[in-house]
Amino acid sequence: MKSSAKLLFIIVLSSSLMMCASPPKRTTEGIDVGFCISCHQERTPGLFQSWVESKHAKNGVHCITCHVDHQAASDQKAMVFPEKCGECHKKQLEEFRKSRHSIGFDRMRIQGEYLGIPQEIRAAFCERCHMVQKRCNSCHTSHRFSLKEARYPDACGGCHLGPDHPHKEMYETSLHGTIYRLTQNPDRAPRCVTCHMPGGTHNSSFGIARGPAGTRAQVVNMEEVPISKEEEERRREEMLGVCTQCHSRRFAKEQLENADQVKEEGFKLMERAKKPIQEIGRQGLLYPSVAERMPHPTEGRTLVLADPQLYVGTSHIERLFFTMFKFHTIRVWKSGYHFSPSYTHGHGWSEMQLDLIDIQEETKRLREMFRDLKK
Amino acid sequence: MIRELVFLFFIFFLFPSLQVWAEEKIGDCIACHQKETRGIFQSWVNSKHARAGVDCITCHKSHAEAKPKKSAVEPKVCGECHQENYSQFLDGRHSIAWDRMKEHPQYQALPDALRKAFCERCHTIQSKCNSCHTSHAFNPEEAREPEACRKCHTGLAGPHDEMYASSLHGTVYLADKNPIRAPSCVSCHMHKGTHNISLGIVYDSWGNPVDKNGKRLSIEEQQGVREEMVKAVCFQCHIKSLTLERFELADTVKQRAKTLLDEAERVIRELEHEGILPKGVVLGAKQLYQETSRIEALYYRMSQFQNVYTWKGAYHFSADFAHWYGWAHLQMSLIEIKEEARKLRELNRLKK
Repeated sequence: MKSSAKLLFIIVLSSSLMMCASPPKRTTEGIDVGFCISCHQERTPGLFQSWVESKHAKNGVHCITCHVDHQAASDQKAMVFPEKCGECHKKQLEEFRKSRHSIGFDRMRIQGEYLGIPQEIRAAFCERCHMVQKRCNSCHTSHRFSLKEARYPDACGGCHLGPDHPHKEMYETSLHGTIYRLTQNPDRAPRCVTCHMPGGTHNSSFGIARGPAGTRAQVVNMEEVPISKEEEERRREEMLGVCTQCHSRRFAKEQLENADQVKEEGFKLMERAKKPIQEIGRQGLLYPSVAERMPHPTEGRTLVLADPQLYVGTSHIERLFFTMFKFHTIRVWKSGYHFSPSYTHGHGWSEMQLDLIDIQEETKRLREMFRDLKK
Repeated sequence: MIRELVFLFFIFFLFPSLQVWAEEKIGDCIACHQKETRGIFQSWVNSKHARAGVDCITCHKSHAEAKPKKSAVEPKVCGECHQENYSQFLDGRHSIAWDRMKEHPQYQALPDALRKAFCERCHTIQSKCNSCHTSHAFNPEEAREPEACRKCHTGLAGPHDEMYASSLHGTVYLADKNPIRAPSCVSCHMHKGTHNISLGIVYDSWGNPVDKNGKRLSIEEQQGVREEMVKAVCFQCHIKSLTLERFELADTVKQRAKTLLDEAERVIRELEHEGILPKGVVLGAKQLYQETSRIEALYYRMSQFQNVYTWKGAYHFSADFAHWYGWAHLQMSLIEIKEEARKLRELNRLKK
């Protein structure tokens, strides 16, 4: 008994010495999933459990398939880029590349607002969502990569919410959102993916015929070139294809055209608010004046109203306009297209009107109080 | 003499009747309460308590005792059976919530009726386990869901629920309701069922690194507290380097938000110094939202709302809160405060 224990001790000791002398090779070939699991099952049990229950696990897609090897994974903090997923999911990757999701990070990096944020905290703000360009697991969350989950409105809601683009809130307060929430049945009413990713397309820009946030400019394509009138109509027709699954074509078209008109009215109101501010600027009553402040990161020393206006370091009257354009105009027109009367009217249009009063009042006050400063 | 008589009255009349109640069985309560408070009865009858023979009298002691307390049962009564949970509860900040509320000037500034309807509804958690384990089911599964925390941890002063729901953690959890896939509130804040909800939390409500008793934590102690959570919870899914990096990023966000607050405070202090604002302006933790100047009110929004959205949003990994509800609004408020200061100076000059 005693000698067998001694023998066991020697075996354990010598084998552990052998392991120290020659660490396991970390190459793609020869590493089986057992090697990863031997540690990760214990060290990151949550992650392991999610994977084990995934379709990936059932089909033999394991750690090394995506992460390549331990060193590579470690170097890129375990990130896996869409190109990697595209090795199997070719069609999805191609579709994804046609969508604005696939340029989310690049476009963010040239945005004035992004550049106006201290560099060391950008990762906590903009980058968390705009990372969608580089990670399929923004929507198909690790390590289950569940399709069912990615189709829920909540999967989109993590980014598409809040003051600057309350898509989630608009949807939830629309009849579409209400019926879906009650029934959880996408045949009864559409959820985000029904309209924006119909038939499972990963081109989430499908059917979107209107321009980027905050501008009245024409819709642009992925290369930022304005699209033609015909292309605009083609995209609208694409979307109507979804609507006509429940609605008559005439009705659906009318609804979308009504939203077009709402959008125009919203922008007209915004233009009205621009004028007094521009005048105040010409009269030298902005505090701080354009000359006294940090230059705009992309536009330089000029008065910027609406996109790409900053919320930092401007005058108060510009800041009032920022709220109007960034938070309220967008509610008016996007909620028009999402059919949420409480957002398009209550949170949008009426707030814009109140903003306009604030701006006009501020104009008056600045003129009266700082008459002496006038050039 | 009268006092003695009253005493005798209690001894001879009331005491025996208490005895009777204590000896009476659950049937006596149910005889009425099954009909009169049907909802409560139904919740209890399906509870684990009912199955385990924990009935009205076990917690409420007697009809006479329950009545003046308006049926409140205090944690120490629950602790008679749930000893471990009770002692953990005492280690966490929930157990001092009422006392801290009573000391706060904002609470003191409110009329009685409003205190009850506002602060007290949540801060009463110090004296009721059924804030989370709702009566009379006391269902632990219910108490584990984010909804159980939401009732208090929502809204302007502390939108923890909204931050969580808009984080990737919240998104995945709410889709799947599987705490292995993603953490719910209790996964991080009541890890493995501990009732010390302050586990792993470095800061108090005002963002100061202090313990439950207000003692400032050293840098090492802060690291120790954080490690408790990070090691036990985060590493279940995340690698070490990435996790620590995320927390350090949130630390930086918190510091940067503080610099904006400091800048705003400087503007206001200058006005105070110049005699434009009266001396003794209170800013920050003890500040009131009532009967101050407009510029102080602007600071109130910054410190009590926008600053909290920024730094707590960052620790909850909600980019939307940290950036749009938080940082962006802090910056916009700062603009407004500077403008207000300019106008106050100009008005002051015109007056002279």
